[in-house]
Amino acid sequence: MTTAVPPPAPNPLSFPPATFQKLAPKTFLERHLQSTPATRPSGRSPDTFRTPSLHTNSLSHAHGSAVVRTGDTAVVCGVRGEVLSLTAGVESRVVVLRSGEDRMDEDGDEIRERGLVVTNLEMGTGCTRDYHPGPPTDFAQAVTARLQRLLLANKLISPQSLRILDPNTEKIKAYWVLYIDVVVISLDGNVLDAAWASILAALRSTKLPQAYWDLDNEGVVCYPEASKYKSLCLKGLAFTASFAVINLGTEKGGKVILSDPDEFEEGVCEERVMVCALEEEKVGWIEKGGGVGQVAEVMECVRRATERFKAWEQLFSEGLGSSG
Amino acid sequence: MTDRRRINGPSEGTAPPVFLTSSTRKAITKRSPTTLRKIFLKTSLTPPATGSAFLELPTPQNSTTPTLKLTASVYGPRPLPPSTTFSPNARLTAELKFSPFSTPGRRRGYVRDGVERDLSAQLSIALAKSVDVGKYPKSGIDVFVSVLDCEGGLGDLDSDAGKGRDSGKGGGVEVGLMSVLAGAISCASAAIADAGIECFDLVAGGVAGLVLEKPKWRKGKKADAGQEEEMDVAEDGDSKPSGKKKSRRTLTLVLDPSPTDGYFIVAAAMVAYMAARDELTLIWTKGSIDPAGDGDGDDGVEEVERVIDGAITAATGVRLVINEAVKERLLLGLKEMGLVKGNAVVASGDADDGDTVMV
Repeated sequence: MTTAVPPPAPNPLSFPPATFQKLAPKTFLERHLQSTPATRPSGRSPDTFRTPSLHTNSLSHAHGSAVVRTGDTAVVCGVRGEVLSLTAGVESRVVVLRSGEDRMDEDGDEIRERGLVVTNLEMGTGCTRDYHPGPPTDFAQAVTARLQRLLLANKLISPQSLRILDPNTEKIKAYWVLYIDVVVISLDGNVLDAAWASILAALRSTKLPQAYWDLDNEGVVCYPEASKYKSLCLKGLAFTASFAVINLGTEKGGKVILSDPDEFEEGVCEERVMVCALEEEKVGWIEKGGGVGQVAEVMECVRRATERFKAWEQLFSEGLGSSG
Repeated sequence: MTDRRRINGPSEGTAPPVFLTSSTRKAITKRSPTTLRKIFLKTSLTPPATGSAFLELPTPQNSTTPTLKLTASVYGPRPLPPSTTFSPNARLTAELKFSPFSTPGRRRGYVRDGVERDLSAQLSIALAKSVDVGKYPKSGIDVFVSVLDCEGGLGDLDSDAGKGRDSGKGGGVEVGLMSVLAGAISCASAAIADAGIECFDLVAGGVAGLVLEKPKWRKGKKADAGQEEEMDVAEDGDSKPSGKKKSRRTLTLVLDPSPTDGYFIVAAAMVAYMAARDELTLIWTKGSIDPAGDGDGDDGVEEVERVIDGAITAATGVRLVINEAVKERLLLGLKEMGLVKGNAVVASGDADDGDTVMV
């Protein structure tokens, strides 16, 4: 009697890492973070940001432009000024006092009320796998709204540099409207930080032509000479830092905060923190959502954000210094 | 209609800046008519895509001179959505979009307009024949091209506001769109190769133009602003009928003409050329090719041949650049594969990166 040979004991199921990552993304990330020292799938430690790179003024038709790359996320930002003429009926409500007497709190309102800054984020460029042709996705709209809000809340742009005056009466006759367009070339997570940095760099490199109100033509005329182009007047710096938080459970190490998450980590982690750090270690904006946490976590994020601020600041002083 | 999915500018509308008429002189590139511009082409700059490439014509000495910059990314072959009908071949779609800040004059809209749709259609025609679509049934290959910066000369897209400063066009046929399309074809073909999709051949785009030679005494004025240039041309046109019978106009063939060169281009041709198979996938000519129009048919044919041959010569030059970029990428990939093996042996302590056991 021959009994059937029992089948060989099955090997424990084994996959190459890429397959494991696709099958059980959360477990994959957790296993990585439980190793000592904790390492993320990308090889970074939890508190490491990706190294950014910056190029400014590489586009010829934009008044200012910047390319920012952090890891595999790359964005191009172009700033273009157009003229908003105030028709005779809609005279400007802000009366220009003699220079210096302009009240500071009026500044932001002028830009906000008239919509002088128009930020848009374009992700329909084949930057990621999930791109579908058509109008911007909910995600793109949400990021756009945050960028615009940050820009207005931080009051970085001084409205003075956007005003176009009548040379005789010193009255505001027109405004520059800044169209800020961010085009995402390549997306691997954390588009907000890269987009924000590119906007800031592009604004700092922006040079608008010198314009004046021409009485004869009843319109705004600009001088074409490159030497008469003026930089925008910007107040200070602000940089965002985004984090993703994953909860490994109390016995396995608690919560881990991941700086500058990539696409995969953003997909797995539900809890997000965003901190906007200002100069002199001040904080301008904190957003946190998606999980229950303690203040200590947020403080840790703030600490990392201020460090990140220094890295960006360093890069900006090098990058903008060299490109002139 | 306001676009509620985007942030719009002031509702009153804004206008691009108007400049005083300037006498800024365009530095005319001192290229011989048969010299191609250098091309910077690099693949795999969009890692999330299956394949990608970036093409740039390097900026000449004068940094304000516009150049062409575009990126292409390729996704696929990936399964078509279940709603589509069965297709035994891969479906290749191409989309070309100008960035809002890429053109002189007015900003581009966010929604694709007619010109962009036309260029997209031509791009997909030019590429489709180079891909071995029979190898990938029921799949889609999507090509996206975004133009970040272009040289102008886009015909009616140029608003007159930018005329004084930006467009150094010399009248005649506008070749801006042709060079954008040629660049897009070359870049997208490199991206398709980078994606590892099986192709019959690489496609390269080339542009050539027939340029009206100016009378000798006017040569010195070549550097004048666009308006003057056009006046000259008008004079030429006026003087033509009288001198036509004795001497025909002399046309010079210029390879890879740029809108910033300030040539008066009578006719231009763009081809998408597969050099290894010696086949054309796309021909696009513009302008009046038979100048005399007096039934002297041979002349017309000759000029068509001349300008298309010129475009093919230009495309052959571009092809060498694509070859280099693809080869560079291939070598890098092979090297990386070798390195990966070496690392696995050395750094086997990082057990997490090795095979992970699932129970």
